[in-house]
Amino acid sequence: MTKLLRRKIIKFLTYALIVFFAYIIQTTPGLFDFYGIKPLLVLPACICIAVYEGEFAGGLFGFFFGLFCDSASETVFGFNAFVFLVFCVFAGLATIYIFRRSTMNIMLLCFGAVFLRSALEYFFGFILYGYENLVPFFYTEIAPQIVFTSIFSFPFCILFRWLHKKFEPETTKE
Amino acid sequence: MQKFFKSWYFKVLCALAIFAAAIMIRAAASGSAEVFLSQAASVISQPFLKISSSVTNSVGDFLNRFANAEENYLRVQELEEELRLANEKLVDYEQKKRENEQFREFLGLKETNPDYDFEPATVIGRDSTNRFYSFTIDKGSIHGVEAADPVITADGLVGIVWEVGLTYSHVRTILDISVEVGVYDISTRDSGIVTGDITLSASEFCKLKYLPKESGIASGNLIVTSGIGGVFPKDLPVGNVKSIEVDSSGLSLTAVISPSADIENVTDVLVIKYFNGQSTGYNKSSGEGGETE
Repeated sequence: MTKLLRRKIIKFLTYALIVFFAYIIQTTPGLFDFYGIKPLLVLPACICIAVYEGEFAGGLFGFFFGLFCDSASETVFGFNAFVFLVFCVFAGLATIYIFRRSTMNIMLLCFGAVFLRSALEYFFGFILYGYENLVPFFYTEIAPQIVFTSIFSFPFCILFRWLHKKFEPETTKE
Repeated sequence: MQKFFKSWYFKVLCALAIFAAAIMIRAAASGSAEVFLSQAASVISQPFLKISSSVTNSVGDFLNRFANAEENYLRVQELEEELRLANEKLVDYEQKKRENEQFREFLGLKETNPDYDFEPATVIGRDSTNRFYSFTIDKGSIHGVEAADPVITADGLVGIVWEVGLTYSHVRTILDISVEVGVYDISTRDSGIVTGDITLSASEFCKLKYLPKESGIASGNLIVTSGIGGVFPKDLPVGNVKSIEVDSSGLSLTAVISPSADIENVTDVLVIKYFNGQSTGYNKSSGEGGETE
C-alpha cells in the first residue's frame, strides 16, 4: 500500500467518522435541541466533503449517510439517500465549474441544499396531504431548522477545509 | 463537464441515484422501509446512539441544573414557603395535640375537683444551674396567677409559684429545699412534711420528714397533700415512699419520696389559681404554709 493510498484511506475514514458523529448528534434526543428545533448536520457535512473531495466522494457519502438518516427519519425510506446524493454531486460539480471554494459559497450551497431538502419534504410530506395550518408550521418549524442548519455549516466548512489541507499530499502543497 | 458525464463515476452515481429512487418509490408504494438497508443502518448506528443518548442525558441533567438555575431557585423558594407553612401547621398541630392532652388531663382533674380553677401553662425556661429543677412558665399575673399557687400535672404535685411576672412565673419544685408541703400517707394516715434535700434532689427524690417513730409507713405507699394550711389542695398525689430511715435525732422517721410527677422533664403544667380552702399566702421565709397537722 502506497503512502498516498494509506493517507487517502485515513482521510476518508476520518471524514466518515465525522459524518457519523454528526449523524449521532443529529439523532440523539435532546442534543443540540434548541426550543424543539434540531439542525440537520449530516447534509452540510456531506456537502463540505463534496466541495473539497469532489462530486464522486461527496455523492457516495451523501448516499450512504442519507440511508442512515432515512433509518432514523420519518420521511419515505430512500428520500434522504437520493436527495443527499443529488445535492452532493451538484455541490461537487458546482465548485469545480461554477463557484469558487470559499466559505461563503459553501455555506450558500449548504443553505440551498437544506432549503431544497426541507422544501421537498414540506411539499411531499405535508402539502400533498392537504394538512391545515401549514404556513405557520413552515415558519415555526422548517424555516428555523434551515437557518439553524446553515449556521452549523460554518464549523463543518472550517473543519473539512482544515482536514483537506492536512491530508493533502506533500507534493501538491505549496 | 462533458468529461464527468462520460466517466464511470457518473455511471456509479447514476446507479446509486436510481437505486435510491427505486427504494424510495418502493417504500412509498408499500408504506414500509427497505427492511435490509434500514436494519443495516440501524444495527450500525444503534449502539452509538445508545451511548450518545446516555451521555446526552447525563450531560443534559448536569447542565439543566445550571440552565434551569433561576427556575430551580424559584421552585426552591416555593418549596421552602410550602415547607414553612407545613412546619407552621405541624407546630400548630403539635400545640393543639398537646393542649388536647392537657385539657383531657384538666378535664379529669376538673371532674374530680370541681372547685379547682386551673390555668394551663407551658414550661418556657429552665435554669440549668439550679439543681432543684426550678422552671419558668408562660403564665403570669395577667392570667390570674399569684405567688404560692400550686403547680401540678395530672400525675401529681410539681411545685409552687414562687415569683410572678406579668406574663411569666417562676416555679419552685417540691425537690427544692425551700419548699415544704404538708402531706400524709394515704394508707397509714401518718402525716409529715415533704421537702427537698440537697443530696436526694440530684436523684430527683425528696424527703418526707417528721413522721412518727411508730408509723406503719412502708415502701410504695402513696403520699398526698394534707391540705392543711390552705396552700395546697387536699389529696394531690405527691409521690411514693421509696425508703424509710430513722431521723438523726432518733425521735422520728424520714422517708425518701419519689415524686409522682416527672419533674425534670415536665413541659406542661396546670396552675391551680383557686380551690376551696385556699389561704391568702405562702410564707416564703419559713418555706411552708403551715400545713402540718
